[in-house]
Amino acid sequence: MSQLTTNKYFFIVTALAFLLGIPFLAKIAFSSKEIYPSVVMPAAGSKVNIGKDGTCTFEKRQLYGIDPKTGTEIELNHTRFIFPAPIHDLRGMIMNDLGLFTYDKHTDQYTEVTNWWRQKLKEQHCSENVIIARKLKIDSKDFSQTVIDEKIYTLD
Amino acid sequence: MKKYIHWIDRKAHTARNSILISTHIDFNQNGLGVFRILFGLYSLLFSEHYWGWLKSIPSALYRNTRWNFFNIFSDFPADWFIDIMDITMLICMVCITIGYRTRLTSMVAFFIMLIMDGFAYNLGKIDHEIMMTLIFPILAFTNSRAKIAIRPETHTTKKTHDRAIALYAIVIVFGLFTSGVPKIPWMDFNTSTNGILRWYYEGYYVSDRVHLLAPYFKYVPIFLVEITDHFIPLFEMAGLYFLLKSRKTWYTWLFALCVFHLGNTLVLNIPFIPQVFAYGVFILPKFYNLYLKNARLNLWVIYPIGIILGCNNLFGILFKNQSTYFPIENNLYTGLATWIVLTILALSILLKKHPKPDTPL
Repeated sequence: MSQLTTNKYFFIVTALAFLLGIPFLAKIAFSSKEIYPSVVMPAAGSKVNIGKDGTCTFEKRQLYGIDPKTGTEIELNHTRFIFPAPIHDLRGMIMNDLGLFTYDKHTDQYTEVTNWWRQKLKEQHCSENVIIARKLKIDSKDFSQTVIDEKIYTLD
Repeated sequence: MKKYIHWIDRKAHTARNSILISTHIDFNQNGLGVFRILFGLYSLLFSEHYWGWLKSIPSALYRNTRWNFFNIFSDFPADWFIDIMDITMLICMVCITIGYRTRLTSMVAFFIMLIMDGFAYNLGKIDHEIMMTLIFPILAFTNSRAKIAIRPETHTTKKTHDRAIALYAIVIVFGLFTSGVPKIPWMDFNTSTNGILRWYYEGYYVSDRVHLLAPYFKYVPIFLVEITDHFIPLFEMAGLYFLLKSRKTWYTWLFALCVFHLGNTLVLNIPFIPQVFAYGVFILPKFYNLYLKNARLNLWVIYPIGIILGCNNLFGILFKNQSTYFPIENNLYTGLATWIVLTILALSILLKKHPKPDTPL
């Protein structure tokens, strides 16, 4: 106890270092994981490659619906599509396959999520049974898009 | 071993004294009371603390892939629970604004925010709100509850007040440090790769962040952008040095942070509004104590505003399933305005000669 009193500030610093430092070290060690609650700020430290002409390529995730009349693809407005969820959660939702594989098809939760997406597709005048999620590579020179990943979700 | 422990203890004691001096906000003045009112009014006006929207999110979108403490639950909370949390939070924010039982209501608000944000983060992203959440203990343990309040609570000690502010400074410095470390790869002395441009291009072409100065940033010479790429991680990681050095350097760093966020808002269109009040803990009370300490505040104007805003939001929660007084689209311009104001206030603090602390620390 006397040791604790004598070296009070050493113990405070050690406690603070553990409390603040461990969640941060966990995030550094396992980049897809993050502890909450913790004082760790989002950083997004990745980079883009810049060409000699100053152009670069970067990635974009885009959701599409299908026009029920013409059968053509319609780019969905993401903010409206996931409203009232904040737009920064879009990536998480796409990584989670829009929640379509979280529960079995016979469950109430599955029906709830498919009905939700159907309503969202309807709001944007799309066919109510298909959502296409693509990861695109975009060249800033001419904004040409290359599909690097594609998933088609059927809301049956 | 004992020798090293003693050495760390001595250094930590010196650091503690330096931090207390750098972050000192006069215990006998009204600055933090004014901050409490502004924070409360802002929260009520923009419905910053509201989770009613979670009620309409399908359970299947609840995502247990992070080490979020709230993974102990497998679904969003029930609607009645969200309503109770929203209404309790609203009552707390009105009480905080008018200064009624500030310690109790601030701590209740702190736990509600911690819990409800935990649920909301299970949608996908753990966001920046922790700085905002930790403002509530500041309100609870400083003289903010004793000043300009309808029911002043005067039993906070100066020691607790000073320590709470110093601890919050450490939290801010550490938070920025965690944001800076992953950006170290930006410092590559290589103009063919760039970190800021990733933020910029993805924001501009993917997230529709095309407002204010964003359309002009692409004309900035690449070597200047590369210099900024080196400067940002260093700047974010250096907070502790500025905090320990002196009060002048601490406020210089805070001023630079405001400029940095102003730049983010102008160029990247990311206002990071929760940070306004995080840095505001140091800037707003200090400015008030330095420049406006003799100003007469008409509390009977502030109190009804707080109560009217609270009633408006309660009506929204109960009958409209939304609590937004102003639409969220205004946030970019709200952010711009608040960062401009905060930058000017931080600069004016830097330019003023500070009085000595009220009593020896």
